[in-house]
Amino acid sequence: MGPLIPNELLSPEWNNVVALVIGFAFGYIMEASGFSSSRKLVGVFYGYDFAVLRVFFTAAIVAMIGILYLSKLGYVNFDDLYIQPTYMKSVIIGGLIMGLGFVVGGFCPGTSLCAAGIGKIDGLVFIFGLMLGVVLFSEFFPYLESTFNANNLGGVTLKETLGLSHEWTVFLFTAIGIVAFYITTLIGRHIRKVYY
Amino acid sequence: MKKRYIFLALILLGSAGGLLFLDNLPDATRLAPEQLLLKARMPGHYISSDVLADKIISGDPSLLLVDLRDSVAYAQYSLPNALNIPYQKLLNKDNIGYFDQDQFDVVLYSNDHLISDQSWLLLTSKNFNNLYVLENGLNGFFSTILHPKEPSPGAPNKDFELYSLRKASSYFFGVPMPNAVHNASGIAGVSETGGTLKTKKRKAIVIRKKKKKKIGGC
Repeated sequence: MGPLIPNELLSPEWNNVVALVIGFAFGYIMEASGFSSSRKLVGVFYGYDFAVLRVFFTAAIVAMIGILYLSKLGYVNFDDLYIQPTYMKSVIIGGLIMGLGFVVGGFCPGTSLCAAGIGKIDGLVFIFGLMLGVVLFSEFFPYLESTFNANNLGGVTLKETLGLSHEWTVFLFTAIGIVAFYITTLIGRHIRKVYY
Repeated sequence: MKKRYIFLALILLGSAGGLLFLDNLPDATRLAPEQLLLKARMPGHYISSDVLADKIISGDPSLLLVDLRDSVAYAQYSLPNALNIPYQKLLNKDNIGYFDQDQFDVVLYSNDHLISDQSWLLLTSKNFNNLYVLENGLNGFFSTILHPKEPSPGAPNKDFELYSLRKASSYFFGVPMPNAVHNASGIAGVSETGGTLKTKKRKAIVIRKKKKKKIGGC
């Protein structure tokens, strides 16, 4: 768990406890902000609700800013962070499949658990489909492996791709995010009230 | 638009903008100057000829010898199984893998230890570990191991033991035993350079440090 355990502010035994607390908080906030409704989630695809876009953008911006501050204050060693390698081809294919599942099913993996938690049947069905997908993917992995590992670009970040410093990347990303929030607000004004 | 949204947007922009005014991130590809200075002042990165000879003779598999002199000098004489990386090409892309690793103890040497010291400083400043410098270089190795000076008759017994140990080591490195030189008068001068050992170009398989893989997701 983040900077607390490596810096010995907490002992490693607290890992699961902290995870549980964060999990509860995450689930609560998702439910409180209406993310257990598939109508809200797919709104971003049909253009009547941009909460998903805002949430993901905000999460990314907050995490970016937070990690940079933590590393600048010396709590996190930036270069020890694991950067998921970018498999360009696989990411595009996987993104399309994920997006298709998202718009058809109306949930992303996390929100489906949230929906099942409040007793929504579509949430339960989605979880079943998710598990089925996991099993099928694992069973057919030998056939998919070459696609899965195609086009590995390594652990690239926006910093290298854009040739900017971390700080400017974060600042630009924040600015883009806020512009996107503003534009979606403008669009939102022309939408009739949606009932979830 | 609601005021609180503007307020939240300003907080985000402000904190992101604040990053621009903080110091740059410490660059992990470079060691902090204070630490480099501290490391350089510690004599721990020097390896003496005796220790090195012992490691070579016992066939220490973690040892990687790097000859920093030019290829002409390397062809004339070098330590067994040494790699030749002239110090001008130290930071070439092909060579950096030999230093950016944690598999081997890399021993740098040249004729003296001036060039190898400078190379050590250069490589250590790039945050590479397990780097050592042969104290007094090949010249020191020559005068202690290959051509040890016989202690004066009044010297303590320890000196004689060291002398005979060095003499025995020199035999391993191809210096003919003293008697052998006397008997075969035809091959005079062979032992002066310690003989020319056949050194095969060794290719070290360097395994790059891997970052721990973590699993996570949405």
